[in-house]
Amino acid sequence: MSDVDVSTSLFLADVENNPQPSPYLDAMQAARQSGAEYWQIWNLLAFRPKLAHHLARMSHEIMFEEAPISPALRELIAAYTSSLNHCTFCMKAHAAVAAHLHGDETLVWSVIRDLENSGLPEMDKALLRFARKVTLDSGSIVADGMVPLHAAGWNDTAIFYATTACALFNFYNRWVSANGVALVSDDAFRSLGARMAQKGYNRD
Amino acid sequence: MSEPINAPEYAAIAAAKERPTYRPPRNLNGVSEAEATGEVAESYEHFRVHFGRPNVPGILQCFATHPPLLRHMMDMAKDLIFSDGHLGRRTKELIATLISSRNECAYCADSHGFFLHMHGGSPDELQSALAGNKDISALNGKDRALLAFACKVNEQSSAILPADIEALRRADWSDAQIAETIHVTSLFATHNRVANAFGLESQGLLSLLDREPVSEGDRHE
Repeated sequence: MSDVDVSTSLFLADVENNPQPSPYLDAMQAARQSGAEYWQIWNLLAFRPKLAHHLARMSHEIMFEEAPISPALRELIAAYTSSLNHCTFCMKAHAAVAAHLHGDETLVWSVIRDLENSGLPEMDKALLRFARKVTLDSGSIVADGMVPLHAAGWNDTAIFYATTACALFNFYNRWVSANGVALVSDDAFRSLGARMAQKGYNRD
Repeated sequence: MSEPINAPEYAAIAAAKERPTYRPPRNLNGVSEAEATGEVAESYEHFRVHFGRPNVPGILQCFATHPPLLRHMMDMAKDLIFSDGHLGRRTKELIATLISSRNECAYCADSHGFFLHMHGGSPDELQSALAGNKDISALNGKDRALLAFACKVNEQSSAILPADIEALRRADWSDAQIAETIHVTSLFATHNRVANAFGLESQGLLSLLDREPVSEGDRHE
């Protein structure tokens, strides 16, 4: 049923073929043994385990730990940001995480396709509009840009999380696309996304 | 992070007669050094000792609004930016300055432009990178190819194809160097947006060079 070629290579052979001892190498080997699909971002993480460690800790803090914005909404920011950057892998992965957390796949995809006409609450839309600006035009953000967010009921800590989650995915989108990380099947996105929704980003 | 890093740029800031003045971010509050307590105060002290710089830069004061993030961000920056990896510091700072300028991040462009100078970047390289110009005439074709790729990672990453990577290999860049270029460029896509959303202004580090030119002997390749 898979409509994608999961054997597609990363652009950088030396990166793909040099996984270092790490939780990501373990995860790849476990997936291969059980015949499960896995996402190639693990190859990138296994190539530089020290960087991966910092990145995973940071991502876990930003996306998963307690914050004034729910993990569901933070994952929606991740998926929406990824759609704006045309990173299909991150968009599908984090749409799957967000769908698991929201319990509503249709809502998640309606936001990605057309935020304004989606059924998302107005308060949440305000945060996603801000994420759009952070992604596409951060150089023009001025203090007045905070007014609609405060008016919608968000405090500065919430805006910090929205900004940082969005900025983090501006990293991941470029990292993933420039390395040629391949898509997996929709079923694999769902099952890997469900794991991430439950356990977060740390693996060591 | 046990050993102090080699950061001549911070030694130069510490030695400057006129130190850069800290300006709070325009849009959202950071955590100033005077306000810092507990874990944040410890991280700030760790930074001052470890990097040998008298004041904590504004970008860290933004991340300090969420203390656990501050340490992770410092560790990652130390590993990825403030070290020679597969690319030297000069090349990393050239990428950082160019990308920050193209993302209209005055804060990061100023800091990393200053670091570029301190790590041997020529005036032509510095001025071109600050203008967002990737075709720096003073550079050879190999370096220009890398900067063009960094701009594509920054602005059109979803359009990158194996052919882009092949062009870099032909220009004699290794896969590990290409991977590091992607890391550094992508990290600035993040930092530039955080700095811009908080409204961080330039620290004016480059203007220290006008007032008090740093001698060639103090610069490190």
